[in-house]
Amino acid sequence: MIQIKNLNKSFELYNQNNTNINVFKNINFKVDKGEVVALTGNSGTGKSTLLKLIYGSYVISKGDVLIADVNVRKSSARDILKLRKNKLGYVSQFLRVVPRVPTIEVVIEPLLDIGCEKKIALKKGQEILEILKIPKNLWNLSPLTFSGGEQQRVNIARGFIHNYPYLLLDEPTASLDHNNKNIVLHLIEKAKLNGSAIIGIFHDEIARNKVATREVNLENL
Amino acid sequence: MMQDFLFKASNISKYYGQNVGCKNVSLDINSGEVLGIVGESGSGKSTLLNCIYGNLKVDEGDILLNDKSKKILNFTKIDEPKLRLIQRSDLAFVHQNPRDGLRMNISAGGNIGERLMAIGHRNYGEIREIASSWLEKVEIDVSRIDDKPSTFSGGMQQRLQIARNLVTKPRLIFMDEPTGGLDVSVQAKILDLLRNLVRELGIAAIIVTHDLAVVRLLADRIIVMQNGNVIEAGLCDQVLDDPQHKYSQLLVSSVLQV
Repeated sequence: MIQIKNLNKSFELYNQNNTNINVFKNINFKVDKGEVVALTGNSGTGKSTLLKLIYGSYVISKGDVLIADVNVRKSSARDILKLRKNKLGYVSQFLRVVPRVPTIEVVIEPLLDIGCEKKIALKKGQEILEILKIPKNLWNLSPLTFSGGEQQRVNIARGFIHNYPYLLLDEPTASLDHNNKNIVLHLIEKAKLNGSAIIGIFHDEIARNKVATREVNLENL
Repeated sequence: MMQDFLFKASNISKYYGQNVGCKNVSLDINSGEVLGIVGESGSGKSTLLNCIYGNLKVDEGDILLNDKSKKILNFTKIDEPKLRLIQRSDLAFVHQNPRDGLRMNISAGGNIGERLMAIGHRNYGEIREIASSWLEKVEIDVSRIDDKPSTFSGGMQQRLQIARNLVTKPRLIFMDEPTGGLDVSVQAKILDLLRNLVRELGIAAIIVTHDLAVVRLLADRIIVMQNGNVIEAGLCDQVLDDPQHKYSQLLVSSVLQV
């Protein structure tokens, strides 16, 4: 279960006239196994910020994020890294990888990180790239030269190659065409049935209605 | 659990007369981890790196290495020859300027082979073969194996230095701006090589750099230095995406794109 308790986030920008930006206050909700919670609200309400707080990329100002038995605010960097490696996946809109590393290597990295044998990892990598319809002749090229939609699918492949019990999805279908969108929604559906607790941002209403079991609107909290 | 650390430096201070090199710095690293040290020039990054490697004598603090036999060695307490031996076997140091880390008057193959011989390799054919494979790994044409590094470009020299340091598979590598003078595509190759070594061999690395894009791709954790002090430390993406200290915010916001 992911539990958000009285979560507050503000940014203190020292070099910009000491501006203090309050993103949100007192957010509370829970996400159980097998649930997909869609975060909604206008731009600037802090949807991506919330995902980054849960993932540990942003510092929690006040309150708690509990993932299984881990309290993110109280965890050391090492504990967060361990949590990410084993349990907590994150698919962002942007692909950040070492240049010149082939797509297949990028995709299987999360499996190698948990000690999976390379042969098995490669097989799983090929499977997920096939599911996501990334043409075979691109597998040995760096994804940095790919189109936006292809890059996004490489990101998704990385996020879904390991069965993370907790998944954070930031616009996973944003730049995808109809068919590819459905493939990704199907992957999310499968993870949900597998018992993952998922929090996502889906601007596309049709996609949201298809996979979300519940919505949390950040404007009404 | 506490005995699992590979390397730990605590309360390291180094003064140059009245001036502070670094002050009260503590850090630790486990096998398979990459720690980044960032900050502008003059912030004390290189001083700190040289101190904890044992190149510079510290004024205060302890430097502990959990050696291969699980014995804890304190660099500030062991004698010079012992320290040099540890530096050759367990550690490696990649200098910012490759000329500081290479022997310029012996061949490229010799530069790599020398390190192998120092740890007991004797078979000439085998040494040459390993040297060739490392030249390939760092993308230096194997036909240059008998050429002296003085005939190489700066980027090639840096790659050779990295090969020379990694060939003996040290447990902890210290790197001072390792990709500084390299063009972007070679940088990428070296970053990838390092990441694989870290994962496959469980090597740990402490990397000093001012290039935030490099640390983002390589480091698990980073520490930010200013005027010899650590002003912020933590998870790499947290420090880069949500820096808490005024100076870290300035450092991150000054970069065009990370």
